[in-house]
Order: sequence, then C-alpha cells, then structure tokens
Amino acid sequence: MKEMMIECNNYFGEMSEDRCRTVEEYIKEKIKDHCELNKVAMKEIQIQDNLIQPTLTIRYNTGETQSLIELIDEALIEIGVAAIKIVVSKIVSRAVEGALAGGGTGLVAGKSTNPVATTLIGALIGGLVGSAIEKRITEYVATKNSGNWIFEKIKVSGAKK
Amino acid sequence: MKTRTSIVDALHIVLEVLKSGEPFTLNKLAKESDLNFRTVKKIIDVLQSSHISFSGKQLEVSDLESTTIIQLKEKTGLLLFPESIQNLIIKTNHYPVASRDEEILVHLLLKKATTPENAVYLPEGRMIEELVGAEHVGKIGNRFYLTEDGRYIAKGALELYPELESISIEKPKENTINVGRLTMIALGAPPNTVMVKRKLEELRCVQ
Repeated sequence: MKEMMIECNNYFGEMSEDRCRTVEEYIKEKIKDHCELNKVAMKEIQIQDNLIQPTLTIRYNTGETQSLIELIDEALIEIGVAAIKIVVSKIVSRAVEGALAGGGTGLVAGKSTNPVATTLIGALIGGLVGSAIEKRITEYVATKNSGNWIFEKIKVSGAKK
Repeated sequence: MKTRTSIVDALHIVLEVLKSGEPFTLNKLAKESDLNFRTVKKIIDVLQSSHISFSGKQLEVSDLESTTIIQLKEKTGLLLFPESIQNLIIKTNHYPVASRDEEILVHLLLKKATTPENAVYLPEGRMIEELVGAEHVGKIGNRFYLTEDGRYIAKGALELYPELESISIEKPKENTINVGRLTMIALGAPPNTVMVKRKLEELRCVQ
C-alpha cells in the first residue's frame, strides 16, 4: 500500500470539519477510477489565529503515482486549493514480523504448560500488535516549480540497486 | 634603573595578575608583575592575613561631611553570597524581566549616549518623559542622553540582565525573500464548501 501526503497552501479562516469531509468525498470521486483507493483524509491545522494549513492523506494499493499526482493537483486547483508538496511513501505492515516475534515469546513462556497452544496465542497476539505497527518508506518527494511537479526519488540506504 | 613601587600600587598590580585565576609561584608572580620577589612575598602575606579578617565580613566605608567612618561589618542576608548569586536571587525572586524604563536606560548606555553631545533620538512617550522627570535621562530637543544617575542605574540593570546587551544590536536588513517560506505563507481563501458539494454532485451525476 502507498500513502500520499499532500501539503497544501495555507488559507485564512476557521477550521471546518464539514469542508474537510466534502473535499475528501470530492477527491475520492475524482480518483477512484484511477487507483485502488483505500482512504482519503483531510486535516486542517490552525497554525496561527485564522491561518489554516490543510493536509490531505491518500492511501491506495495500485495506481501510477505520477499521473495520480497530476490528477489530484488538477482536482484541487478546481476547488481553489493549491498543493505545494507531496510525499509518497510505501507502507509496510509488520504483521509477519510481529507474529514471528510473538510466536517465539509464546514458545518460551509456554514450556511448562502447553507449548503449542501458547506459541499459537503468542503468534496471534504478535500478529495483531504487528499489524498495528506501520513502517513508512519514503519513495518520492514532489515539489511544485513554476506549475510543474518535480519528482525527487528518495534512495533508501542499504537498498539494492 | 628600577623605580620603587609603592605598596598600594604593588598590591593593585599583584591583584590584577592574580585575577586570571592561574596558579603562580612567588618567582613567577614577581616576574609577571615586574616586582621585587620580597615585595611580592610581603603583599601575599598581607592578602592572606586580610583574607582571614574579611571572612564573612565586609568593610564599610561611609563619608559623612568631614569624617569618614570605617567599619568591618558582619555580612548578612544576600551579602553572604557571591555577587552573581545575589543577582540571581534578586532576579528570580523580585524582577525576573527588565522593565521598559530599564530597557531604555540600557539602550542609551549601549549607544554611548552619556553626554549631551552624544544624545540620541528616541520617540517621545510617557515613559521617556518620566525618566526625564526623574532626572535619569537628559533631553536636548528630541534627543536624549543618560544623566549620572541614569548611567548608574543602566549599568546595574545590565549586570542584572546581561541579555539586554542584545537590544541595541541592529539586525541587517533582509533584502532577499525566502521563496520557500513565501510559498508556505502565501494565503488565500479556503475552498467554498457549497461549491465543492455542487461539484461533487455533478461528478456523481455524470457517473
């Protein structure tokens, strides 16, 4: 799964839940045919009195990132919001790591009673905890320059070429 | 030929050399102060004995018309602490921040406006009028300078609030605009919810 964090231009006024939900719905409608959409969330943060910084978070499973960015940018401009920076990350769930670690703990703890059952319970709990832990690997940072998006690929240290 | 240095001068010289806090042998101290070895030894003896006499006490010298009263008094209250700690206690307990009039006085001191010739321009206001009234500040036209009392207060305020030293530093004017910052603070109106809702409806209708 991928996550797109879209930082938009600040605007004047009060924060509005209704506005956030409406923009979320609008973006969903705009991009739903271009990717396997998971979630769209808009957040407004008041950074000063009457000064709001809006951020959009979009999670999707499949879809071409760069064309998706162009599409979202266009959709946002239509409603008067300017995206200025987009960070695209890959989200890795740690369910498998959690299950393995939990299973190991269960095995050690369960030696005296029923090792198999405790290992299984440990693995289940570990899996549940692990799935709640998310790891983000940043792939792109896109910034706007003279109306065009500049994509900067982020190299992950230690990654194979 | 070496001239004879009075004991008072020699005492001042030795104290000045010792101010550095470095350890000295008598020989090195004599060399550093350019004094005779025996003179230095005598001074150190005097300082050592006076050190014992002054422990926990202070010498108070008061001038009364034609008489000078000298008294070695016990140190009490704040005086028991070193000056830096005294300042810290005063500041923490009573005056955590400098007042506006202290800021004005320190500003004048830092601008070296201590004589009518060096008076500097200050915008007039109630505060500056009060300072002129209290004779802490002198006035020539629309320019101001510190009087002797003002200078004394300003020096004290600067000791208590060393951070005031930065108040008169002129910051270089920024001729360039940080474009990144400008992009972040560029402002507009928020999206009109009614308009977005209408667009959403249109989208849904088309599909």
